[in-house]
Amino acid sequence: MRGLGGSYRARDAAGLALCSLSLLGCVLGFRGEAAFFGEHDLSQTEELRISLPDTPLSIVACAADDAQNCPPALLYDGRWLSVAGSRADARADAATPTLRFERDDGFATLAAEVPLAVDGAVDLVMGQLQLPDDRHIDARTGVGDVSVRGTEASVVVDIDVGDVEIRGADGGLAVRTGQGTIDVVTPGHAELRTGAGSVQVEQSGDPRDLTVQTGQGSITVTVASDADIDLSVRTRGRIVVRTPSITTVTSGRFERRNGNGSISVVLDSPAGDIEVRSVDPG
Amino acid sequence: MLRAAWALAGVLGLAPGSSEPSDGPPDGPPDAPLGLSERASAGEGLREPVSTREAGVTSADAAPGTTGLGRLVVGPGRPGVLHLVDAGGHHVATVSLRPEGRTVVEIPPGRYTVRDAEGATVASVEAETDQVHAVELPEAWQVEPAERSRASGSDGPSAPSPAVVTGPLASPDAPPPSEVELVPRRRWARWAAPLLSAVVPGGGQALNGQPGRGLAIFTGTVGLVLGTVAVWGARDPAAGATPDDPGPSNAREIVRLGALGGLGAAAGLLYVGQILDAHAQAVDRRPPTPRRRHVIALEVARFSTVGFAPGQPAYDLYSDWSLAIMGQLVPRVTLGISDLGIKLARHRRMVTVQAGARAAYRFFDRGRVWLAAGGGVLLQGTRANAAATPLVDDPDEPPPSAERALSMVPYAHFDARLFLLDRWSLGLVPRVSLPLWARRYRGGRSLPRYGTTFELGATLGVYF
Repeated sequence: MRGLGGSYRARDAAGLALCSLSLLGCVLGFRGEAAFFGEHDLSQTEELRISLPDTPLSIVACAADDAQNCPPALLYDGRWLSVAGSRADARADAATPTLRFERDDGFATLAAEVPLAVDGAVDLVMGQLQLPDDRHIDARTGVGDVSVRGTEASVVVDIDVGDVEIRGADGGLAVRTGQGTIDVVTPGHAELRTGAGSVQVEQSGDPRDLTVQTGQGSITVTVASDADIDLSVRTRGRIVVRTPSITTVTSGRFERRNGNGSISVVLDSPAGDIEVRSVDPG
Repeated sequence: MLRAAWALAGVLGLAPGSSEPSDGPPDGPPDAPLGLSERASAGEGLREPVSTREAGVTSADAAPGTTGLGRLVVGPGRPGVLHLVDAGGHHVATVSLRPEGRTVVEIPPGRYTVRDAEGATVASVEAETDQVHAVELPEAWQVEPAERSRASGSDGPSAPSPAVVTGPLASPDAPPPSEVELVPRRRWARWAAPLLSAVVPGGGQALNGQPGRGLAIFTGTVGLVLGTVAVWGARDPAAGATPDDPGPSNAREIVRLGALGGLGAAAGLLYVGQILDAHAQAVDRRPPTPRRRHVIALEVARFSTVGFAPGQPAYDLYSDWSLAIMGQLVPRVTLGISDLGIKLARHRRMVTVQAGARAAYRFFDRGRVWLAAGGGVLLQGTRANAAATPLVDDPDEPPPSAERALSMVPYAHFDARLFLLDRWSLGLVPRVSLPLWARRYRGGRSLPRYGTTFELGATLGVYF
């Protein structure tokens, strides 16, 4: 990772004025910012784990077979934000933390290294990450929306709070968010869980296994086909199924097995509405 | 003077366990309450303060009926003279204390101050219509049981001491009790009232016979708690999650955080205060006498400030719970160990241990209000797991070790305290501090060095 030096912006005057007027108290200081970008070789890497503190993640996969425009490398940019008691400290603190890339055979990690001296006083804001589409991705963060587009390999997303948007993940998909919506269009099998938020998923390829759980929120599923589906739906809310061979409006629990039942679709929500459609409306 | 004109004092020598008059009034029938007969004459024309006189009392004397007056029972106590002064500062009655008996004074309802011959306040008491209240004298005015026994000339086994009844005076039509029994205010209420207030704010006040006060406290406490919860719930847990999303405005966030801290502190102070108040009201309703000559004081404090934070949201509420043990070296000067606390964070398994030293000078202490100013230094030691662990252990490299950091935060503060009981106070403590290194808070958050910090503390203190 290379830094682009430190820049700073002065304290928010309006906020400071309000803070000073508040009866509770306030803190006087400065904000700092340091931009960075990084490039790491992924030629021997099959799977990349991105494990970062609270930050949005936007991952774009390029076509691995287009070596001209898609080098076997991880490219990214971003910036560190800081708060400090002086301008010099704000600038220095923003430039102190780093992103650390390590590789072990076919597995690589990208993680943040924040010294204790500035831990709690800096915040990471990632820009876009780019890598070839045949690398498996495992993305983890605390608070931050995650977007993954174009990956043909598998994708795993595990975050505490944030919305998740996936386009691709042909090799399979697993998503967990503590709070946030999930929006997926994938040809692969998928296992999606959110503590609070709605889920919208569309199977864009052949029929695949699908499991969706929400703590609270609706589920909307568009299956590739209902020919060999083993459908299990459970919610206290409304259940609406409209596929070529299944049509029902009910609530509580609904199960249907078509053909050999080799494609398992399990949808579970305590109270949210669940709707199942088909790519081919019949 | 009007109160003084209405004041009637009867000195009633109560023979323990006896229904016989010991010092019968020379001019009153045994079944006619002396106080009542005197009140009648006083109400017709007395305009001067009436001194108490000694008189006997019989069982019938305890059933004066509904008089519209309140009764105060004083003593027994060391021989001396006490003066009753009403809320307007007018002298109402003079009470001669005796070690062998109690003195009962009938006076119009209201709050009175009991003063000694030099004019110093001995106690305060509230007289209520048709109620009997005991005036609790300080230890200096109380007599030992043995001394009381000698004074009453009792050589045999001591008879049970008469006590003071708190409650309505009996109806004149009611049959006279066979024995005068005066017992203190409900002793169980001293603990039941605060316990009930701890469970249901205001419940203790209602138990003490102050339903209006209890309802006001209940409404206020519930309102503050609900307000705190509502303001806390107004936060956006996903703030900063979406790229380029500015999130809530800085002004809105500062106002929200300020309200959160202020409401939380107010709710806490009111909650604790009403528990202390329930105890105070159950014991007696005199103003507290703060322990100026205390040796040790224990204080629990919560300091809060709205500080800036990196990223979004751009501001955060930094709260710090701590404990202080302060000693009073010389009158008005305190010095001790302060800011004791531990802060934990799951992040990197961070542990921060905090302690400090503080000195303060109390420059004002009148009535129930104390004002002090001082300063101190807060020290922090923090341990956290290594910032990053290597993907592959390198046998040639030592494993990453935990990181440690120290911090020092000098500060100055102003301390305003209000005593609700003789030993218990609530306080507000504005404080300004300057961290010389990053100051740690709960959850791994921190304020940077040189970040001048203005805080407001809410404290609960107990004095020994």
